[in-house]
Amino acid sequence: MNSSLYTNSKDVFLDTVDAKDYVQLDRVSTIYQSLKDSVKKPLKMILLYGKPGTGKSMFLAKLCQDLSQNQEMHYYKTPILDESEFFKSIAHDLYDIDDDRELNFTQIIKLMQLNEKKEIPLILLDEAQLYGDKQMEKIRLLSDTRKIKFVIALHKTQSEDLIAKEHFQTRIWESIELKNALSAELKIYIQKKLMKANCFDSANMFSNTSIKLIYKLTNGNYRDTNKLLRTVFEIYEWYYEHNLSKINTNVMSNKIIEMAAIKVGLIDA
Amino acid sequence: MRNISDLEKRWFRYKLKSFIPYVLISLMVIISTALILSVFKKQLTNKSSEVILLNDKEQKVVATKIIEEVKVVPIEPQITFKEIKKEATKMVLTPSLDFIKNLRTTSTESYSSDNFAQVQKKEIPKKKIKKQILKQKQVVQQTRPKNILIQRQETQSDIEHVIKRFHKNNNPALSLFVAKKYYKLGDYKQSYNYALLTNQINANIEQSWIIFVKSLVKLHKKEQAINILKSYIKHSKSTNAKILLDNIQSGKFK
Repeated sequence: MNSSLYTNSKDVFLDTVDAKDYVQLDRVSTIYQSLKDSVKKPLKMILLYGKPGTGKSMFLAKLCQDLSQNQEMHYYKTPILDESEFFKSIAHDLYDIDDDRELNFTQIIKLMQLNEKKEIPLILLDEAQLYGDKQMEKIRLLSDTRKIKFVIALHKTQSEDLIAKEHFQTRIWESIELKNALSAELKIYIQKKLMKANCFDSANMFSNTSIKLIYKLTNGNYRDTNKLLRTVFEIYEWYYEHNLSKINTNVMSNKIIEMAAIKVGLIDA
Repeated sequence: MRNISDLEKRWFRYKLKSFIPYVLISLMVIISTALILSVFKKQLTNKSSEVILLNDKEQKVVATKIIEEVKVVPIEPQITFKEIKKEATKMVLTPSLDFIKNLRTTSTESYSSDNFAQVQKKEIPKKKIKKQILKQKQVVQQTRPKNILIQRQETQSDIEHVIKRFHKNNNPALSLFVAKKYYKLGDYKQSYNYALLTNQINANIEQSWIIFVKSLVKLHKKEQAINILKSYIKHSKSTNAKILLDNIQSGKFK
């Protein structure tokens, strides 16, 4: 074990959305396959929903990477809240039309009718809960033309049941829910992630008790787990450089996990 | 990361906080059990004092009552001579022919079971029977209890009850009690085991060492017993242990 191993392990859990970092888990793979199948179906909209940190963005990134070679696909990672800008982006991406002037809904519909494509292009919208109701309604009308198809990823909040919303109830033909990982899945997730980066020693440090503790703290949320483990390895790195006698390099210390949880705010101490 | 020491302090505070509910719960449990035990003890002492309050007069009254009750029970012979005679005559056939008379005697002989044995002895006078009845009465009077003794029987169930209590509270006094009882009953293996258990809970109880060593001697492990006793004497300088050692070595205690 050396300091660089902890540094590498720390970097594994950087909270970025990269399709290369996608970890294949049984349940997640089945959901992903159903999403892929839904894309092939003649649907107007596909809704991908779940709590923050359940892997929606990763799903969209993976879908974009896997299908973009065979199908026209555009991935909007951040929402474009200005309507005109949103339509301009669609016009640019789908029809290579760049116009500095404002573009309204009627104009984009006309554009779509004029430039009919053999295969319906797919637009992936992440963080769609940030779009306003009016803009969402216009996206629905765009999908109604069947000239464009949307995959919408949004947070499921308790205050408003998004699926119950009118435009989703009537238009969406497929809705897929993503959930937090189970304890066993979390172990596989952590170890696969570390082993992908050749951090075998770090992967072996995790015992069932440490996984249980991580699960207890993060509730199986992928984002929280990444944040927590990044801090865990950051602390290990510090101890390795400054006070090696205080750590056991073979077993993951519950104390350090709890310290990391305090640091990232998972424990209120 | 520079604030590790601060993080360690926060973690320590968090750990202390997380232990507080457990400490409180355990304290509550200890206090409540102590309260329950004290109440239970009070009840026990009250009951025992009530028992002591029974004076001699009351005891005598109880004793005489019991004797009277014994007197009242009438003891009578189950089958009287007359009844036996009647039954015997009822069963005898009464033809007039001589040979049939002979047959009658043989038939009565064939009925000479326990009840009919007395039938043949028709000559037994009534006085004799009365005497017999009187004798039986005398025997009953002799067997009447002169003193009423209340004895506690140390049965296996009693020991089992104590063992259950011991398993609940792990009190060395109970295990020592069980060891002693088993020793008295001659079950030296069990007395050895319970003396050992007592010793494991509290190694300073002299009696547990003595019962342990005595059981070992009874289990024909004299040398082992002597060695253990010597080491205990070194440690405790117990006079009882020294006496026992002398007894074992001299052969007084086998």
